[in-house]
Amino acid sequence: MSSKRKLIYCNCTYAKIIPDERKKEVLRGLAQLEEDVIMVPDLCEAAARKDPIIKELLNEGPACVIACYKRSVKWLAHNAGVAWDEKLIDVYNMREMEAQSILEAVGGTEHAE
Amino acid sequence: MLNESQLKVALVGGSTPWSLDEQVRSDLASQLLGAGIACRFMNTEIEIDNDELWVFIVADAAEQSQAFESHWNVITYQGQVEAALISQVQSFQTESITPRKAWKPWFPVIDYDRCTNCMQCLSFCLFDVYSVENETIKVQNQDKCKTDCPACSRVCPEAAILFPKYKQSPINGAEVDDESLKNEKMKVDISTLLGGDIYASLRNRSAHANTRFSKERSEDRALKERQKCLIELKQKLDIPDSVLMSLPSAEMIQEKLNGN
Repeated sequence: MSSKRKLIYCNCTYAKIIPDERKKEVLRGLAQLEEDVIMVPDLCEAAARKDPIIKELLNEGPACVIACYKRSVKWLAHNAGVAWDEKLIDVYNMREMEAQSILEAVGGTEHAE
Repeated sequence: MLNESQLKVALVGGSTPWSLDEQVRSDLASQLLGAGIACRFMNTEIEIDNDELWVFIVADAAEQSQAFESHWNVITYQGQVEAALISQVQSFQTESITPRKAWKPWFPVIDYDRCTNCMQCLSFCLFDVYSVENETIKVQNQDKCKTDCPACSRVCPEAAILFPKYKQSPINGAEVDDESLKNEKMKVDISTLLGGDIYASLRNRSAHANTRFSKERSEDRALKERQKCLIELKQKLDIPDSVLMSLPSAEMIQEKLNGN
């Protein structure tokens, strides 16, 4: 049985550590996909507030997170009460990867159970 | 009243008459996210929970949009400027959503794969950011963390403290490797910083100071010594001036210790 992945994008709104043009290019690419994309202004903020949306997005089933370093995302999620499953969550790092590489990776396969 | 995460702003895609085109959707997403509003590209059918407030942003499609509007909270995109659109979304927020508290995008995050629970961060931080729960270190008061100060992560012997918005690796969350640990600004050994055995150093310093100040008590000299020490801390731990200025005084620390 296949399980639909959740595609999550963090805009890192409250820091200038990811170039604006890279974020816009990623958004343009995501807007072309035929699947839903959930976009949050800042995962750090959601984690700081222990926003239930983080658990809702990452606790069950496969997920693909476009944000920053995997270690940061993992422990931010832990901070918000997520039981992180390495096998089910992919993280793409906008601090290090170019937009095109991220979009190629994200546009690829979906997880299957 | 709902909370912030129960507001769902959908930028409608797909191939309906009210679908926004791709360029418009990405532009609107950028604007909303920049204003701190979560949103989603909606291409598939969704399950709507009664505990959620959905706002759909759709293309102007005359009669079709009117039919849509009669059932849902709808904003019809007609090329309005960013401020107007955000104001429209916020009008739904202010009617139904509990205002959220301000937050600071700067706080430590513990990597428990690396943390050995040594409590060095707890001892080091003077701002009560850390505490212990069930014998495990945790970030208790993230709001008390001083913006742009990564000092606790620099004194962590295991590089287990992250600041996701920090500029340098591995404090920013990059994987920790031997090379990054050799970085002169990473993994500062407090005892080395203060000169060998920290307790012996403090005892010697205290004894020396008692002797010296009994002979030549000088507030100017004490102040200079404190400034020299603070400059060294600032350089080695990358502590911002604002944080050094807000350090609690010796009296305040002593009062806290007495209180505990």
